[in-house]
Amino acid sequence: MDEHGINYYRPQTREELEALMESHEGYYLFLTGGDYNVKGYQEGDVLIDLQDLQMDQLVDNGDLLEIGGLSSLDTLFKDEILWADFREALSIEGGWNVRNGLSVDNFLRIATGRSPLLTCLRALDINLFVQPDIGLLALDEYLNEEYNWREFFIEKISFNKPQAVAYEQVARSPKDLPIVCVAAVRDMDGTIVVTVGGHEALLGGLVFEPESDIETSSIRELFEETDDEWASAAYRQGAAEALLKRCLAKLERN
Amino acid sequence: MKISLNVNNKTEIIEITGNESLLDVLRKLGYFSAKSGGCIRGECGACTVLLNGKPVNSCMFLAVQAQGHEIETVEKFGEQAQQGWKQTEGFDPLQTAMIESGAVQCGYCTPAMILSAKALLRENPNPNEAEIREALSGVMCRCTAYVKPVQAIQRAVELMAEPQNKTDLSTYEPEMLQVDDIPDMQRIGKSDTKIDAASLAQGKPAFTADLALKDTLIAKVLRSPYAHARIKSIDATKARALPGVAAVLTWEDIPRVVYSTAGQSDPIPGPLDMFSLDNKVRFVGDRVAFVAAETSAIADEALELIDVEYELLEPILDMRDAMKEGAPVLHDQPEYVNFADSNPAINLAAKIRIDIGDVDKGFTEADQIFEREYVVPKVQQAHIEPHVTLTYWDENDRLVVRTSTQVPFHARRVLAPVLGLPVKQIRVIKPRIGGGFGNKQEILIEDVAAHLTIATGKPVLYEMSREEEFIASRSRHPMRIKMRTGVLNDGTMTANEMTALSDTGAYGCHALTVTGNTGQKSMGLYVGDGKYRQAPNIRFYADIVYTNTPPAGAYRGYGVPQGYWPLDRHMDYIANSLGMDPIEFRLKNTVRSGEYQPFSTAWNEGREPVPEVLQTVGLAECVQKGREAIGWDEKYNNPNWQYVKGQPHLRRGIGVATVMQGTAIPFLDMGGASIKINDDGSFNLLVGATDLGTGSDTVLAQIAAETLGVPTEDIIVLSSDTDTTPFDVGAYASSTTYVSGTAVLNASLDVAEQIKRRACMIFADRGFEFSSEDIQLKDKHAVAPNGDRVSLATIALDSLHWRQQEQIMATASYVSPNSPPPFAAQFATVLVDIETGEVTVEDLIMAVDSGVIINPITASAQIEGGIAQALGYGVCEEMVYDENGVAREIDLVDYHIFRADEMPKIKTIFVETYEKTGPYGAKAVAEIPLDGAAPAIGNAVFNACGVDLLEIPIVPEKVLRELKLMTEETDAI
Repeated sequence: MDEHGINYYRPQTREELEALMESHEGYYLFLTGGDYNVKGYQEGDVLIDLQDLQMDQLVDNGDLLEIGGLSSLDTLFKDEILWADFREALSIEGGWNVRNGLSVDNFLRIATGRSPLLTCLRALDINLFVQPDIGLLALDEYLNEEYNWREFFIEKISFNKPQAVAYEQVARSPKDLPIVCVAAVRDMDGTIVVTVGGHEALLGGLVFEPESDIETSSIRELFEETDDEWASAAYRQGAAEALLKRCLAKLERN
Repeated sequence: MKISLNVNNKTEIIEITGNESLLDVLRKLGYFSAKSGGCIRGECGACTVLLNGKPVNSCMFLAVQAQGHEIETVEKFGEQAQQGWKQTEGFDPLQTAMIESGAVQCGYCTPAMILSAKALLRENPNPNEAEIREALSGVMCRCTAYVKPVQAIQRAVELMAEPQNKTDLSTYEPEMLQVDDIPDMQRIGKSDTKIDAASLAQGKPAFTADLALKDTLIAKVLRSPYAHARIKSIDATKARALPGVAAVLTWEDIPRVVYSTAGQSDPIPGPLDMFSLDNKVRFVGDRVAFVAAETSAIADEALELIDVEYELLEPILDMRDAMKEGAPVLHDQPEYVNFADSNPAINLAAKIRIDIGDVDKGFTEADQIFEREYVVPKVQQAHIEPHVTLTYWDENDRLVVRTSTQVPFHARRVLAPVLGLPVKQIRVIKPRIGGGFGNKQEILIEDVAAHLTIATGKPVLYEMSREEEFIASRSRHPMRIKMRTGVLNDGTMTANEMTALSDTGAYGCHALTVTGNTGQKSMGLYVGDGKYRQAPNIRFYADIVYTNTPPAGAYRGYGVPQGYWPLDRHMDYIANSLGMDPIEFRLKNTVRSGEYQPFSTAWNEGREPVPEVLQTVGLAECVQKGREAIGWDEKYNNPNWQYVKGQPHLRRGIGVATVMQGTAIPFLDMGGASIKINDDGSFNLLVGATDLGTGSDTVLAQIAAETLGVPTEDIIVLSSDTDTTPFDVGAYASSTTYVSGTAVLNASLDVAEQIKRRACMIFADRGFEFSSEDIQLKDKHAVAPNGDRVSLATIALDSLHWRQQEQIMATASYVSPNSPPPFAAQFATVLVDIETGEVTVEDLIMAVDSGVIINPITASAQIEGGIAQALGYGVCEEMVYDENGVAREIDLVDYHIFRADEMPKIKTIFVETYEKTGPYGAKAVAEIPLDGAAPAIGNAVFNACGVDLLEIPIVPEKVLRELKLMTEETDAI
């Protein structure tokens, strides 16, 4: 412990980690890579830095992609993830510095409905493996739970590789956070999952079964209660429908 | 705890607290190239380092996390090749390219850019432009629009392939057209390297916060959560008792001295309505108490322990409510000092009534009258270096204020009574500044640190957070402006009227002068034609009111951008209504060479007007060059260009704006300069002028160098120290090149004369009799008509050591009787998505008449950076408040400034006139780029899809709303 009461540990193995967790039972916080506002730690905090536990790998298991929770966002720019629109959403999310530094775990702790990347990840229907003792969670489950996520960490995220990903947004400039955005993913079986964003709160989504008729106006319902200081619900509804049509056209072309 | 960091291949061992960021620790270790931008989500990138070869924000990691990793800072990458007897490998190609290209303006983000580029080139030695811009996407720059940094990186690629290949500076230079005969000169018109570029490219500790003094305390400010309230009681007992707290000051602890924070000449042209601390708060973010503590964390904790009881008062948040009957009064303090027509009882900070000619008669003569109301928002300067000040007592018990300021001399004068010190006991030093753009033309935070130094006896450092910049610094005045213009059917303007309601926020700094400029420099461009050209009819009325929002102040352009949005949109509206070409309509009515600037006959910031005839008006040439460059004739109203093949939801549009700014304030702005010769024939040039990254030190050095016949590098500039440099008003009003430059010219001429007389003495020794008029100064020599030469070094030694010893030196100051405006034509093309309303700006071209351009690279860099700020003003930037006066924008995430990877194409063209009243023909260049982009974009959007917006920023919802209204109207018909 240093004179200001910060206890810092960097376990080299899982066993070491478990031993630390046991010895500081219920009183530890995890450091999981680059983070905003690192100055929030207080005297007496026990900080367990997970960076040496190999949780920053991207593993391509054929149909399934697994990405370690301590991977930087820039890992998602890698060749295995080939969809141009996904990369564009990631590029909007943060400049190169932020992507190199911010970890997947720390990103998901703070992401809101305005996040382009989160909107895409929700469409990809990712699963999270949350430790300790939480296990597999769907992304929306994780986002809606009110855990103090500093006491847990995301060991990895995983998702089934889709056929195609499309992302469209409206913003004040090409790289500004969106006022309204739509992400659409076509799974290997042809199911289309649509999620929306651009509003602080998380909004719902749509699922279109393969071969089904798609009524694009159905997206308007998702924005019914979204009047805020950035845009009106009416605007978002209209713009979202236009964006959805474009996403669907892109999916069709790919 | 003790940690070990591998920094630049060196092991650094340091004792830290566990929760210090990597940024904080690197700076403690002396790696000052990593800078703080005050942001909390890593958005600015000023703190960039390479971590295992990748650029990351060092503010996003704890120092302990970085153990075991390779950290690189820019200090690793090169230094001066020749350092006395020591020779090094010199600069890295990236540093060389940044230095040569003019990419280094304020330099605050330069190390970050160099590191990001280094990481890119290691992975990809031959990147394309998109890849370069992507690599810079994590570094925000407010000065350069990323134009020259991108060019520099491209050049670095070439240098790495062929290190001996000398740079062709024309790569970085703008297109130039000479209108008047301009003589060939040695240093004027040459793109000499910016004299501080090398230092900044090495990340040297050149900024305010880079000076580390022992026992420095950290200051923080407790700020009001309410828009309008009285402080009923304030108890700092618990805060003062916290270990590590050195002082807590409330309004009860310090003298109550009323002043204005505006950095302007004496007497301040505005009301005195501010106290360092008051018993009333007037906006969310207003000051409540000051704390000085050993660490930032302790200071933050102390703020939480100050107990304040408020009596809430009704706030005014809309400028239209300020003067309504029964409105709450913001300034009811007895100490309020009026200026001119200010009237705090009705929340009026200033009032302007200017009538030129007979406007009412002009309207009766019009065939048509056009009338509309326009709105411009509050926007922020968003300089990357926050406001930062360090104050301490020196060994002679004088208070030293080392501060990021544009106005060191005004700061000293204003601080003196506030602190209870005479002026002579205060020294203000301006180091390098990481951007200011007017926000540092303010005595904003120096008093905070100074009061705490007085209270504790210790050095105090106060640096604003990014949130404080948004809620408690200054901004551009938002305004509501009514335009009313009378025209004949042939397009002749018969009368032109602007009525402005301007919101100065809670305090009246710059209230009168900013808004005066709004009318003077925009409406002054249009005089009419025919008989109206000889006797224009122009009216400008303005009320500047108090509201319970953060105060507005000086922002580059200083009221003029607010004038051009309404004026230039209005000109397009009239032209379109008359079926006239928008360019022809403008040029028919704009002022020409040989005519009066009409406002010069009626207004001079509360002083006696000084009528001025404009000698150089290159506006028509600017329009011609700009229209060629953008392809106006091929694009304007050409459906083949406007409709995008295969994308029916997109429309292209093209727009123009013609603008005028100012150059200094006649009979007010004064600059001084001193020059002395050194033993080796070089010179020290001492100027009070303030270089905030604009390159003014370099330009002033070039003026001296031209006059003295030496290379610019032989002029060593020392600037902006109230103890050692002559007075200068500081960096504002586009006065530095013109006013301070003329002071430099005059001092140089005096020194040149002394040199020539000494040369004549030496030539006489050789048997030749000459007079000083016969001698030329050239190539570091005094040259006689017979070709005989004597070096300046010999002259220096002769005068300093050998005989009739004297110090060859001179001091001069200058106040101008003139204010010759620069002119410009701004062109824009846009792409409008008519299904969503989204607007993408594709091209921005500005053709500028700024007289003779002293340094084409630094001047074009000014234009490029200014255009980028104007772009934001037009399409995305605004500061908005909720019903309680709480700001929506408190960081650079929600307040978006353009990144490198989203910029439109920007091009600068200089049209050079020769302004006889300026040093070597120069006029101003710094502010005019802020004026035209917003209206040009608005006009382009109208051209694209008929959407006629009266309010900026031009955001998608506004565009779509108008498109829908148009569709409904069409359907109704």
